[in-house]
Amino acid sequence: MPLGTATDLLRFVTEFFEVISRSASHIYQVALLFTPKSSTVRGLYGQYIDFFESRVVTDIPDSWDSQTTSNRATIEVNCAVWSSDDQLVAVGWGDRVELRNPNTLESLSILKPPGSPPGTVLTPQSLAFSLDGHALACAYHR
Amino acid sequence: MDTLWLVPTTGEGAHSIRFFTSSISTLTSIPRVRQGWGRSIPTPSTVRIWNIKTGATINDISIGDFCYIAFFGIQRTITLVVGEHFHIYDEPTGAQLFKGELLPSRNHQLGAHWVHGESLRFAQSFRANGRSVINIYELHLAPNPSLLMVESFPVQQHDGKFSFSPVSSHASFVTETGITILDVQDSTSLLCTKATRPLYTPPGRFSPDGSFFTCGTSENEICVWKNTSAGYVRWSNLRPQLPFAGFTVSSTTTSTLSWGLQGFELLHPGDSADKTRVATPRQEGGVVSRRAVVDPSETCFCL
Repeated sequence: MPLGTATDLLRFVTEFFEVISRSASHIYQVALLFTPKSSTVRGLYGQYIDFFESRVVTDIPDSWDSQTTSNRATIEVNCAVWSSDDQLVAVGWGDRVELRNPNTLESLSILKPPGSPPGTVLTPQSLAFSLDGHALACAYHR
Repeated sequence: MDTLWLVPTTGEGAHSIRFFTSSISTLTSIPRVRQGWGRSIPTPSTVRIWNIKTGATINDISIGDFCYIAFFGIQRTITLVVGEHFHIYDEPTGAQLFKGELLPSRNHQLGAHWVHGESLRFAQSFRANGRSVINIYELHLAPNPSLLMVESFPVQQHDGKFSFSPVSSHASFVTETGITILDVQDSTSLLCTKATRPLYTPPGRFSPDGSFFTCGTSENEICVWKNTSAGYVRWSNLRPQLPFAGFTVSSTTTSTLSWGLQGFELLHPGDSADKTRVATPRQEGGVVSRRAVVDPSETCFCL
């Protein structure tokens, strides 16, 4: 399979991961529908778009844009870092540090913060994975 | 004088490392790190280390002031920058192994730090007499700490925040109105951009593999240039939906994570400018965003 097709398939999956994971039929009803016109995936499988169920659409993009996953928080995100093998991301926001899936940003675990004196909140400000990936360090400050 | 030295301090095994620098901000992608001098009230910090697999706490290290992490994991140590100092701690025990001092100077900047074998390396830019010199320093941690300058590259002087790629040996100088990238081996100019108004948000960053250079802009974009044999060519514009205060590129350079006041985003270089797309889907004329927008506490696709 040409590399371009594989890349396009990866973009397709990561772009529509959430909806496809909810129901496979969304591949045909939603994902393919919103796939860019120039996409190889659309070229290969566009004929299977379920237009009967979908009454859309305006502004189908010409090509993939730069963004795939967005995660809105009500609290300021202070820091984020990739693991050295890109298999994890760590994000520090509010008073917590979370490990997240690097493809979907799905939360994998929340790491326990150090205790803080009464009336104070420790905020993560700096993160670093160890080189061998076994540990994560976070600098909190009040 | 371009000086960097290592002197013993009290206690066996304790050492002090001093070097001049004007800025530590280019050492980190954290935008809110307070600059070294002119501070008044210390802000105590705690550095917590977890085992990723178990989630168990390995150690807590208490620091008397604001700090950020420069290195972690080389020879089981962690290096913290604390104001004008940097401290090196033993990861398993939390014992302090070294204490160094960053002396303020307007003529020096640290542009990068990286691991080289069992040592740490720093790239420093020094300006004097209309010229710039980029020096590479190496810090050996064991068995005895030692620090030496391993390479030095005279280059034409440029204004702006300095950053360096140890992979490509390229240096960048970024101001709000321009970006210059040089090959320090022969001073060849690889990129020179000028904006007619303040646009860029220094410093720029090289990707870990040296194949890309990125720089944020005041228009909430991340500009990406690709390192080619013909110099740096514009590759992509990443346009986060959310205002970002910082970003970091993955080691494979396929993804960029940006973050800020409203959340964080995962970005991939695309082949066209971003477009905001909202379409009307099949259900009751509702409105759907083409992509999932995820609340931290909930994962959902909005239909």
